[in-house]
Amino acid sequence: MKNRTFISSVIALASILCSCSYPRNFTRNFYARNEQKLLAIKADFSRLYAQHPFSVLFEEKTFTNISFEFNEDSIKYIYHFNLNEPAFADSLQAHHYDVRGVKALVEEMQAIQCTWIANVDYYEGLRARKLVQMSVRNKALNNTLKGESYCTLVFFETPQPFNSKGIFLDRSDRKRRRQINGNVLKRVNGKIGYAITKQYR
Amino acid sequence: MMIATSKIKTVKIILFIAFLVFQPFTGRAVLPADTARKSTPEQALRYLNSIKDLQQSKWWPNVPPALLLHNLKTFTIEPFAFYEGKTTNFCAYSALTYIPLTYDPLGFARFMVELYRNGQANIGKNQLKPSKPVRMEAGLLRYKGSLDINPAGQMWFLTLADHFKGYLNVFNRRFQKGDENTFWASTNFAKFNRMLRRLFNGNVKARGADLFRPSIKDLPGYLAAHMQKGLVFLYLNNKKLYRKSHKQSMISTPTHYVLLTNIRKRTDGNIEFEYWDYGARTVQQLSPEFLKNIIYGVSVWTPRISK
Repeated sequence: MKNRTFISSVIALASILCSCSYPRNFTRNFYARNEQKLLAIKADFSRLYAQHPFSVLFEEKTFTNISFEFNEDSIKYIYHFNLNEPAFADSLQAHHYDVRGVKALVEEMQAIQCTWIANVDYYEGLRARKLVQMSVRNKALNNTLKGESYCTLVFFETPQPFNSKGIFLDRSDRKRRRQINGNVLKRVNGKIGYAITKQYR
Repeated sequence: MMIATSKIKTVKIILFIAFLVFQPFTGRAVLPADTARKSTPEQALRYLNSIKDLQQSKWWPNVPPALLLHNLKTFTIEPFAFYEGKTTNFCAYSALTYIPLTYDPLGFARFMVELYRNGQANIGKNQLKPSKPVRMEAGLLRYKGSLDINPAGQMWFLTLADHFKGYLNVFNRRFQKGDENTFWASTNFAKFNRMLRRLFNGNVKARGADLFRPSIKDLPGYLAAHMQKGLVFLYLNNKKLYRKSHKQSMISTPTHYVLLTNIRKRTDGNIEFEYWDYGARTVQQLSPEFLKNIIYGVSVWTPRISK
């Protein structure tokens, strides 16, 4: 009887612990499965951003409402849109964005549940550089106890140094581990890193 | 002909009066800037350019003098570019820095240079003398965006966080590495207003609290009216203003300070809300209910004008 109770409590504990962690190779597998789509989103975003800076956020799990950040020279406009209404296209037009290109990007993001995409500044010594940050939702990252997590992918312009554990290091100070929003970045490949985060930005 | 002209005049007057009565309120800070201003950006730049012999400070070993002067000149030229850094709890210190950069850039530049040279300096009613761990850390903060290359900003933020304490800092009073992101650097509403009173020569009128929203009937109208009198700082719920996860939080608390730069009622009933934080001005269109829901504190700072 005692043995049976012990075994069942061990099984219960193990199942709780398993439910608290995401699949170990999630990012590697997810990236391998969706590499073409992710690279296409990154390329389209970079091209459109170069024409006129912006960032996109899906505010809700339904992926029908977005928060679009129009970045002008000295001011940011953050507007909220329902994608089923014409106001989004009208505002893109009014702010001189490539309407068709941005709408296509938003659809690509919707398809893969990419929640957030933006260009982010970072520094190597005193030198300013840019990276593309993208956060993706996935059912495999949800659990009842810990709530939802996001896979944050970071696309650097140049290959990054990394240590034996596959953690990206700071190019200007190789003793430091490079971070994004307080999270250590692990390597997907030389230029792409990831972190599993509780917040999408 | 005469009758027609006078009729047109009457209609014009009626239209003008109607326009005055029915125009939607707008608020943009209209301050007695020239009379309240103690110095100009030009004076600050002249002072900073005159410094030729600034040696590496023994108090701030990780802040190079040339970079410090470069940062101070940038603050003077572009006060709106002042940036608190990503993931830090420096937003309160950053918001209030708009005051010295606008009203006394020369005084601020002198204070920073004195702080660099002597490891301590006076500002307002305070003598700021940062502790050694803070002085050692300034210049080393990384992965905070442009704050990485802004050791002068790091000095200022760390010094303020080290000097001013509120109840949120009770359990973490001594700086340790990484504390810029923790409760060590947090600012409750009373501490924010105390900093405004003690650091700068002005009057502070505050409404609201850390856990309860201010009871103001027409909040947008109130904010617009007070922007005519002084600088309006808002203490608000950042999780709602900048959503960072899909999770709906059960507890609503304010965590962020911004400077209100403009507020306007739109014809569709929404509020055009313009504020300054993270080194840029931002405009959002929000419903009056949402705005009321996120704002917990309103501090109005008006400069004391010397006769």
